[in-house]
Amino acid sequence: MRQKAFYIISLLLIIILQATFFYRLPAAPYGPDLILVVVFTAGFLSGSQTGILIGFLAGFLQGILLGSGLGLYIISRMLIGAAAGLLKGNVYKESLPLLCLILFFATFIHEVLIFLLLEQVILRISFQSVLINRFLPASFYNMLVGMLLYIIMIYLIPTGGYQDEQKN
Amino acid sequence: MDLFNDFRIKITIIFLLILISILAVNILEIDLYIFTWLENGVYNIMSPFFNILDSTGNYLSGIYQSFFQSRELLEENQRLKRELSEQVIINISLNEVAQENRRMREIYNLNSAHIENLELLGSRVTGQAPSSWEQRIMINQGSNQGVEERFPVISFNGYLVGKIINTGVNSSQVMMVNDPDFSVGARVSRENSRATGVVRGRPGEKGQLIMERLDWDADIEEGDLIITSGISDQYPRGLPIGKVVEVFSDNFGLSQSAYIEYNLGNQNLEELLIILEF
Repeated sequence: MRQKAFYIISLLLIIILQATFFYRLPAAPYGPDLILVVVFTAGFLSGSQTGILIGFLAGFLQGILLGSGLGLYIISRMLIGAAAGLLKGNVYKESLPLLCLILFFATFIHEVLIFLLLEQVILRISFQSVLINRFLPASFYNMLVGMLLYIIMIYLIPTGGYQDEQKN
Repeated sequence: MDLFNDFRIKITIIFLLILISILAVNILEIDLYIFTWLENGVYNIMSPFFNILDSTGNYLSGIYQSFFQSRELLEENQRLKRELSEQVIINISLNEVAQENRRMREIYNLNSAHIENLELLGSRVTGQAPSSWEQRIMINQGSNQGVEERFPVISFNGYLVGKIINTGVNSSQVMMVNDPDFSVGARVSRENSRATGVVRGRPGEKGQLIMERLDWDADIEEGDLIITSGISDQYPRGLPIGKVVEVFSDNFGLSQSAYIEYNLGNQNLEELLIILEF
């Protein structure tokens, strides 16, 4: 329960920071998508159930607060949360180089999902151009910044109490 | 198999049900009251935090500027004063022309085709959606200040920025002109051309829009200024959108399209004007 509360508070803070601060940075067109990193971390550290819950909340709040519409981000974030949960117990949370790679691919898959779900975009731009100009740089940038957030979250996350251990 | 125990099956079913419901609501464009109510509630609770963080950021940035950029600010102030005095002179002359134009229109019984009385409301940009494709920003004026959905939003130099898509009590969301979902009727602003088309956001290209559905023989050239056509009643006629940078044949030669350059880099947008009435 304490872990879920931690993820929710982190999520709210990241959404506010993401919308008010990160868009002012020079690399803003490429992200970073730290909301995705919170969802990924929640799934990876606490299992699919928590990943799906935080993914749903992240997509829902992003849709409402940042005008992305209900649906699009709920689906993509829930899928990433569920997939990250499948890695729990299979990858050490301290193996940072491997996690860098996983986060890179998680961002990449998320970007592709959003691209596929946006009909106004998919019909008007070639996949090859988006792959080179958008997906790869955005995934790389998110991997670099996202790992910092992941490390901070690992240090701050409350150790799982009895309830958390039982549920996951 | 652990993977298929009861608990996991339940979670998977709930997950799939949520996904299917969301897809159904989106594909069928169902407008559920409970969603609207929930959206407005959450938005109104959270938006003050965005405003607070933005105000704090601006306050700190103001302190930084007053200490470290006072010289630049003084120079900018001098330049703006100079520009203002030039604009006052131009404005007086334009007012004379406008009055003459109005008298002539009265004589010939013609309706005005220009923007005359805009009711504007100033606002600050408080945030931007962190999305690769969607171009949405948040501003600090909402329904309490009379803002409603579909109101046009312009920059301080008069260029079209977008339209309001959602309003909270004290904040609103703006869909910008470069959003892939945005479209507006537009025409060429040149003495001997009145070519019309539809301007839309161009995904993946920063600083560019696309003007589509131009006639195959439409008179449009590089450098032409594109303005709102005012054909629909959502936007006033004559708001500048951008300049043509490339014209090309489209639909196997049946129509033309043009790339439009606009100078509203998202990061430069700090203050905007909402058109309340036109």
